[in-house]
Parts: sequence; C-alpha cells; structure tokens
Amino acid sequence: MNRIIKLIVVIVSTCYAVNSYSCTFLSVNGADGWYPYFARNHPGQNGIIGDIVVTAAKRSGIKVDMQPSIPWKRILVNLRYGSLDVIAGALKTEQREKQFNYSPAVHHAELKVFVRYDQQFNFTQLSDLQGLSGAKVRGMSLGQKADDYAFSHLVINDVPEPRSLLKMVATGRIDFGIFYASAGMRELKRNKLEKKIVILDKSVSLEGLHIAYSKTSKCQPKIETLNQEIMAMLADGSIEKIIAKYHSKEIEFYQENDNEI
Amino acid sequence: MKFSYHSFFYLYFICVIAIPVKADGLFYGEAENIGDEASISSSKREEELFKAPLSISVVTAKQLSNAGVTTLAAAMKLVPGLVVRELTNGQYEVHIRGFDNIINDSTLAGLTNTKTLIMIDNRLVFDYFNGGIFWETLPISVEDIERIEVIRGAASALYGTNAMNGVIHFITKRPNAEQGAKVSVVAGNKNTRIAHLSLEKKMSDHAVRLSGFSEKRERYEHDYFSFASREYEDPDDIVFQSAQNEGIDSDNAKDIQSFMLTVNNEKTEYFTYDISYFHEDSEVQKVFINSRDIPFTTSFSSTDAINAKVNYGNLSTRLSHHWGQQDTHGIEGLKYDVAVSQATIEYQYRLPQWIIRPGINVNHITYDGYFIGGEHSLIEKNYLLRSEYFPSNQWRVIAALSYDDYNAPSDDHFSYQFMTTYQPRFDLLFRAGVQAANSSANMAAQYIDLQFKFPSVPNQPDQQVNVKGDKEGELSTVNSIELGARYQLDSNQLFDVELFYSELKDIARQTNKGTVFVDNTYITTLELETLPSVAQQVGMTIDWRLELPTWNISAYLTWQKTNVIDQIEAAALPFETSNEPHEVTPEVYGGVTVDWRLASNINFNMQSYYLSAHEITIQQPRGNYQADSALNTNLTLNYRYDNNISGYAAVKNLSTDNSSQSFYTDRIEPLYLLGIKLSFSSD
Repeated sequence: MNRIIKLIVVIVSTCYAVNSYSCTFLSVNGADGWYPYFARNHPGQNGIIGDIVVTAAKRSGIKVDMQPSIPWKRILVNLRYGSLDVIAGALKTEQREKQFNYSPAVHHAELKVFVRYDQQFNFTQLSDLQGLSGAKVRGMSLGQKADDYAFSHLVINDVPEPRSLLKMVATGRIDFGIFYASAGMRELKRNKLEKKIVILDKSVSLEGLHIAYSKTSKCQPKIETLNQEIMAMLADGSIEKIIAKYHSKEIEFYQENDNEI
Repeated sequence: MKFSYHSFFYLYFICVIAIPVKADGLFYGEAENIGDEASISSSKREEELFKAPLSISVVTAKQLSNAGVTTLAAAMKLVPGLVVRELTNGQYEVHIRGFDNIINDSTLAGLTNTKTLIMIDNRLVFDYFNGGIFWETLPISVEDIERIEVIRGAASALYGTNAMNGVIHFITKRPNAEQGAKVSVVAGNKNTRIAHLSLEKKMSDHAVRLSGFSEKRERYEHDYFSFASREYEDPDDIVFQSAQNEGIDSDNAKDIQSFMLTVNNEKTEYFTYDISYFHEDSEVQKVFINSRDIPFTTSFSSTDAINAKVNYGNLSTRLSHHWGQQDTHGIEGLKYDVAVSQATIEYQYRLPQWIIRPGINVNHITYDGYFIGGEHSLIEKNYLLRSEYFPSNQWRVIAALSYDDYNAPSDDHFSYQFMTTYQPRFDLLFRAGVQAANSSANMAAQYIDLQFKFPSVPNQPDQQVNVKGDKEGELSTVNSIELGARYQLDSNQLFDVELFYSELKDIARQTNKGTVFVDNTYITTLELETLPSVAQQVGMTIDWRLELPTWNISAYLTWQKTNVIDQIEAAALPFETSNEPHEVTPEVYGGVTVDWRLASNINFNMQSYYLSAHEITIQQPRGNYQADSALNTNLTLNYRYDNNISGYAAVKNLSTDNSSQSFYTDRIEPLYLLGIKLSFSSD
C-alpha cells in the first residue's frame, strides 16, 4: 500500500512539475489550410489574423512563439488547458465561449458551399442542403446557428483535412463540401480542381473571426495586454491595413508561387 | 553509500517539485490519441478514438518501431487488457482479458485462444481447425503494420462471429511516397534473423506496394519439459510415446517466409478498390495438440489469400479467399487442405442524426483431411443491421444486430451490441454497452472422427481412443456488460477506465463417454458434449497516458476475477461439478511503456509487462503449473543517422522471473537484437 501511495505521489508530482512553467512569451497557433486568415513558415506573413496578433504583440513588447502545425482539435484542447495561449483566428460558438476568452471580431470569414460543376444546385438557405450528403473538416464550426441547424436537419460528414473534402466533392463521393471561401479557392488551385468544382454564391454563414485566448493560461496579464492592443489596432485602422495588404497583388503573387503553407 | 528504493523515491520527489520544468506547450503526440486520432474500427466507421463506444486501444507503427517490436503477437504487450505469454523465442499465446483454459480437465489445446477474432484489413483470419488463432500463419510482418486496433469485449455483431472476447485488427500500410523502398534487417542471439523488404509506387491516384519478410528463430533452450520425468530433459533422453514428437527439429522455434502485394486507389474516389494478395510458409513449435510427452508440437502451414475491398459510394463490398495446406508433425491425420471464402456487402445510409448500415456476410469454410474423414464444409450467413442514432450533440446510441445462420449446428444464433456514449463536456465521455456474441462451429468440434491406437505393451490389452465430433454441438456464447469513462486531465493526459462483466457458457469439449473391451482392446470413446460449466468474469482496466514533447508514458493495468460455476472435475460422464475460482488468468496484469526522445535522432524506449501469479491446470497426467508473478522488461535504443538510415539495439526479456510463462514451455532468456533500417524514397 505504501508503494502505491508513493507511486501516486510520483505521478502527481510529475504532472505538477510538467505544468509549472513561467510565462516569458505567448504561444500562438492557428488552423492549417486557412490562408489568408492564418499562415505559417513565412516571416512577416502569418496571415491576416496571425499578423494582427504578431503586430499587436510587437507593439506591446510581448514575445510570441508561433507554434508548428498540429491538428485543429489539438489546438483547441491545448488552448482549453493553457498549454497554448492564443489562437489566431477562431469562430465563436456557445460551447467555445464557455472555454475561451475572445477578442472582438477582427475580420470575417465567409463559409461557402463547394459543389461539382456538373452538380450545381440552387442554394439560398441551409434548407436547400436537406436530402444531400455533405462534408466539413473535422472540428470545424459552421457558426452556432448553422451548427444547430446542420445537426438536426443535414447530413454532414467529417473529413480529416481540406484536400480530402474537395477531392470527395470532385469525385462525387459527396454532394457538397462546406469550407472557407478564400482558403477553399486556394486549395482548389493547389489540387488543380478549380475546373471541376465551383463555389456557390450564397454564403452558408458570415461569421466574425476572433482571436481566442486561453482562460487557464499562466500568462493572463500578457493576454490582457495583447487584447488591449488589438482593440487599439481596431480603433486606429491598423487592422484594416493588414487586411488590405493581404488583398494586394504582391501578396497574392507570393502565395500563388508557394507550396509550403 | 547505500542507495535504496526509498532514497530514490525521495530524490525523485524533491527533483520534480523543486526544479520547475519548462513545458513549452508545444505538443504533438505520436498517436494523437487524445485529441485527433481517428479509429476506423470502432462502431464500424471512421471516428475519433476518444468518442469510441467500445473498449478500444490503438498501437501505431511509430510505437511498434520505437519499442523494437519484432513479432505481431509481442505487440500485444503494448495494449491494455491483454494477457501475453511467450512460449519460446518469438512464439506467443495472447488472450484478451482471459477466459482461456476454463475447464479444469482441459487439454493442451485448451490453452490456445479461441475467443478472439483476428482481422487483417477487414479480412477474417480465424482458423477453423479448432476455432482459434494460428499467429504464425499471419502473412504480414510488424514492418507492414500501419496500426493495430484492439477491441475488448464481445463484439461479434459489429465484427463477425468469434469476436467473443474481442477483436485484434491489423491495418497494413499503403504507399505514402511517390516511390520508395525500405529494407529492415534484425539479428540477435538464439539465431534470430529477421529481414523485411518493401517496395512502393504511386501512379496518379493508384498505388502498389510489395513486401516480403523472412523470420527465423531458435528456441530459448534445447531441452524440453518431459511429462514423464517432470523435468526439463535433453530431447535425446526423452522416450517419446507419440510420433508427433519424434524426429522434430528441437531447436527451431520459428521459420517463416511471407509476402504481400497490394494495389489500391485513393479513398476519396467514388469508386475505390483495395486488393491484396498474401502468401506464407511457416514451421513453428507451439502448444497446440495434446501430447503425452512434451508441451510442444511442430506445425507447418503454407497458405495463400486474396482480399478485395471495393466501395462504390456508400456501398461497401469485400471478397476474400484463403487456401492452402496445414500439417502437424508426426500426425498424418492432421494434414489437411483448407479453403475459406468470405463475402460481405454493406450499405451505409445516412439521415440527419441517423446512420443505418445493413449488410450480409457469408463465409464458406472447407477442410479436407483424414481427421474429419474427408471433406466437410461450414457455411455461415450473417444478416447484419447496424444503426447509430444521435439524440443530441452529446449523446449517441448504437445498436448492432446479427442474425447468424449456420449449416452446423442447424440452430440459428443471434448476437447483439447495444451501446451508448454520453459526452457532457469535451474532455469527458461516459460509455456503456450490453453485448452478446457466439463462436462459430469448427472442424475439430463438429466433424472430427479419429481413432488413436497407443503402442502395444507386451502381455497387456491394447488401448484405443475414438474421438468423434458432433455436428449439432452447441456453440459457446459470451454475454458482457461494459461501463467506461474517458477523461482528459489536460492537453497531455488521458485516463481511460473500463469496468466489465462477462459470462461464458455452452462450453463444449470432447468428453469420455465410456470404455468398452473388444478383441483384447480397451476402446474409449470421446464425443463432443456441452458442459454445464459457466464462467463469470468481473474486472477493470485502467489506462493512463501522458504525452509530452519528448516523453510519452503509458501505464495500464487490468484486475479481473473469474469464477466457474459447475466446474467439472473431469471430462467424463456423469459430470461431477463444483463452484470454484478460475486460476489460469492472472488476477492482475498490465504494463508500462516509457518512450523518451533523448535527441532529435535518438529515442529510448522501456516497456515493462507484468503478470501476477497464476496456475495452469491440464488434464492428468500432465498436471498443474504454478506461474509466479513476473515483470518482464524490454529496452530499446533507436538511432536515426539521417532520413535514409536508422538502427536500433534492444535487450528483451529482462525479467524478475525467467521461468516458463505457460505450461512448462521454454524458460525465457534475454534476447539481444540489433536492427538496421534503410529507406529510399522519391519524396
């Protein structure tokens, strides 16, 4: 019995030690395949929301550690437990609001319906998707209202990543895919599917894009400072400039010739 | 200075409390089990492991590589809830949760696992000779494995007949490079030699992979345990009474060659195909057929198999055929031809909040051998209905029904699984299940028809045993109840707890129906008889995993208690019965795996596996075997020179007790292995 107690103490103390660290920087991550909202591996080009976070941190003297690619669900879990401080770009849902703090909306993400050219249909509202088979990327929210409607009225499968989503649309495995308009367009080009798949005009949802903060992070003062700076950037027009930069031809050209993001 | 266990403990405690460890929050677990690992088996469709309704564990190729695992059965030591005993070098007996050798008067064959369904890429590789697993005939190597999924508990409604105590599903690799080649060579003491080669190429959306391997091992020791002298003896000193142990290559533990060829296209296509061809040749020593002399018999197998999976939209079909010849050394009657054909068709129909998956499965099994008096066939038809309903985002209900129609016995069976999961928070899931499963018929039980004559003794009457099967013999059934919970303590830790209760009944075995004296010969007749015995098992498995940037630790422990109601004293009529605890399955078993990335190219792995003391009883004159508790540890150091060259050194079987792990099989010795892997790919 004595040994069992000691074993438990060892395990608990190990966990304690692992979780004890001082706050010297803010760890930041974001979703893969989500250009222009988030990108990695290119200094100065972290995507619109990534650049907003990096710029705000720089302006307020906070060091940022941009973390490597991991699955989206893992990013959410890490934020929940404080092993990640900031997500550069996330939608608000009721469940997530219980777990995370949010910045004001800094941009908007437009979710669209992707269908095959030869299987286009009239889409004006979510009920038009009833009776069809669709897919989205696992862990991705369509926005709270759309999520609620989809659960009880639509057939939407989960796929692991955007490429699979678009390939399944192209091959007819599913009738439609739901994904971000601009990021989806880029994925179409990368996979040479732009002639097979069309993006329907009407949006599934136009959701505010926020910066999500960990409620359990040990860096709460730094997070608060960062959020204040982001609100200041909203007020002084800095964020508008970042968004405009990503719509410039220069950035577009750079991204067109890049396969690394 | 004396450095005791206590001082180590206190030093460790002070270190971890006093020295703040900087966890950088960067984490990407090898298996991604906690957050994002998809399991294709659970509930029969792809889903996250965390949400799986079943008691399920996954072992990935990376885990196998880090732990220096060289045989498929040995990989089972990495899985919670499994009892793994090594018989001799590279030869194992594996049981999910137990229920092995339930009857006191069991034969040696009763030690083999007859309650687990093995699958390779959805193909059932169950052996219908006596309804069990022939591990050596699996035509794949550890190097071919993408992942292993292990399901604990009765699961035949979802996976097929014979999944009485669970399923072990091997999912093999498919090409992930444009073209590539891999070579793996392992050498060690006891003449252990393993070589594996794989070639792969992608052509647009299509891919082909060819792989082959050879494995040769010598036994841990030259001596055998003699039932006559009750000691380990040199084979030359043992007077063998039966031909099955005469003239054997006593040193050979395992000699296997196999290859597989796969062609497939991308899973995202509307029309997908995945076709595999397998071949294996094997000669091994294992505990299989009852012997009057020693525990081991030598088995040979040469088989081929084709498995074709074709999906068209939501329609899934699978056709497979397995054929070849198997033989047991020295028993002419046990040389037989085998042919097993399987066909499955399923359709997945989705509605909002509903998934319905009807299907039909047909298995046609033919054996042709003297032991069954020629050719006999078993035909199984399973009419399947699987359904999932989501009453809310947090709650899921699963029902799987299988109506099983057999030609032998003629009685139909019905197996089911009703399961539910409730996820009140994203980091917590509760699950419960009520399940019933049954075995299929097998050749030895239903059709065996053999006469054994013992060597004549001067001035004594001859002795003969007639063994007869019964086509209408009952099929064993398992009913189980599962309760479980998964809880993510934080982003790096997961607790998975399962409670289970199982009941095994309708156990049938050859029973002594009496002896008659005819023409100076005592003739004893053994016929299949359903026993009154019922085995009841209750237990709990706890699995804890910690995944950090450079450390992965998993610790798992199972506690179980099995009682047998109406345990028979001897397999002879009339049965004398009593209620007694079942001592063959260890009360406590489990393991700890520590994986430590010392540097970007160096990885250290320690894997310890524990079995508590237990007792194996085999019918007289073979007697009892008392296995002491033992902790067995493997150490593996992996070194990656560059992306093309890597290697490892491993020390296996460092044990607190090196005595036999099964019924007087080999005393286990340390195994020292060196492995080199070369990899060439175009991307």
